[in-house]
Amino acid sequence: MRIPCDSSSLISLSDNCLLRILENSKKKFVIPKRVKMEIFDAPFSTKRFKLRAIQINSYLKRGVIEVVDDPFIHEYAEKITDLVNSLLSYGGDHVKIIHQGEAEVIACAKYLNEGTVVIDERTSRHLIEDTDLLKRYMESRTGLKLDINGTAQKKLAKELDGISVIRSAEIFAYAYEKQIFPQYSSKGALEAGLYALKFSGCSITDEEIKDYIELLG
Amino acid sequence: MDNIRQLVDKYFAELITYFRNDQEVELRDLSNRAIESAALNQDKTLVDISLVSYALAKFMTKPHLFKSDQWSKFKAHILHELEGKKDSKTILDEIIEDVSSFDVNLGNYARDAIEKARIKQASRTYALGISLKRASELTGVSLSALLDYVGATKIHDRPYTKTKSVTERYRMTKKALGE
Repeated sequence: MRIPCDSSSLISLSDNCLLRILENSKKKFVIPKRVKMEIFDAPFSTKRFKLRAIQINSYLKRGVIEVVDDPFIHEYAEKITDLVNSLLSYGGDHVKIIHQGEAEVIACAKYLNEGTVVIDERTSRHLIEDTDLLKRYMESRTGLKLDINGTAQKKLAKELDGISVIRSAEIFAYAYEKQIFPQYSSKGALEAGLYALKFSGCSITDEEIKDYIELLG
Repeated sequence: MDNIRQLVDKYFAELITYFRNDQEVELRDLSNRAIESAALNQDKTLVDISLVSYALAKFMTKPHLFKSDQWSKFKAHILHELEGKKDSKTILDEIIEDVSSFDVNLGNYARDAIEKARIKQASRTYALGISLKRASELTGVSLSALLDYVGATKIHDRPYTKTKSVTERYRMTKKALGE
C-alpha cells in the first residue's frame, strides 16, 4: 500500500522532527511531482526554509517518500480542480477554491488506486468529506449567501467516493499508540505532539486533541 | 468584470484618501475588505491594494518610521505615485517595491512589511475557506511561511471545521497504516 501525502502534512511532520515516523512504517509514502516542488525545490532556494528542504530531501533520497509522476495525475487533477472551482458561486461568479497542487494528491490516490490520503489542510479535507459543510463554513466566514452547483457537487462526490483523509496528527497518534518512539510514550507527550503539529499548521481542533487524549492517553 | 473594475477604482480612491489623511484604522479595514473581495474574485489588483494598505497602516503604528525625518518625503513620493497617470496595477507594483525598500532600510525586522502583509492576508484568505495553496498563490507567499503563520492562529478551531469524529478518523488511520 502506498499513501499519497500533501505538502501541508509533510511540512508539519518535518517541523517537529517527526518524519522519522514514516521511516518506521511498513507503508510507502508517495507524493506527486508538484508536492516535491513545494516541499523541496521552492524552499531550497530560500534562506528561511532551506534547512527543512534538506531534511525532507534525505527522506526522498532514502526512498521513505517517493515521487510519483504520470500524465494521468495532471489530467485528473485538472478535472478535479475544474469541478471544485465550479462548485460554489457568488453573484454568478465561481469561487476558485483550490489550486491544482491540492488536487494532485487526490489524483495520485486515484492513479495508485489507493483509498487514503494524508492532508493537513482544511479545505481539501472539506471537499473530500463534506462539501455542504464547506459551503456553510465559507458563508459563516464571509457573511455571504453562496450558491452551490448541484451537478458539480454530485460529480465531485462520485469522483471522491472511497477516499479517506488522515492528517499528520493521526500519524503521530498512531506512532504513540504503537510506542514507536519510547520517548513519546507518556500522555503528556501525546498532547505535546498533537499541539506541536497543530501549531505547525495541521487543521486539528483543540476539541479533537482532547478526544485523542481520552481515546489513547 | 465591470463590477471588479468598479471595486478596484473605489478601493484605489479610498487608499489615496486614507493614506493622505493618516487614517491607519481605515487603511487596515480597507486591506481586509480588499483581500476578501480578491479571494472571491481572484483579482490580483485587489490583492495589491490590500497589501499596500496593510503595509502603509503598519508603518503608521511604528514611531521609528512614522516619526522619522524620512517619513514626509516617503509619503509625498507614495502619494505622487498613487495619483500618477499609469494604470492601477503598474502603480501598485511600483509602490510595493518602494514600501519594501523603505522598510528594509529603516525597519527592525528581516521580514519587510509587504512580506508580512502577504502572509497575514493569505491567512485571512485561507480563513475564508479558500485552500492553503490557492491562498498562497493569490498573495504570492510561500506555502511554508503561510503554514507557520496559520498554525499560530485560531483558524482551525472555527465552527464547521470538524468533518469526522476522532474515533472514526483514527479507525481509518489504523486501517491505512497497518491493521
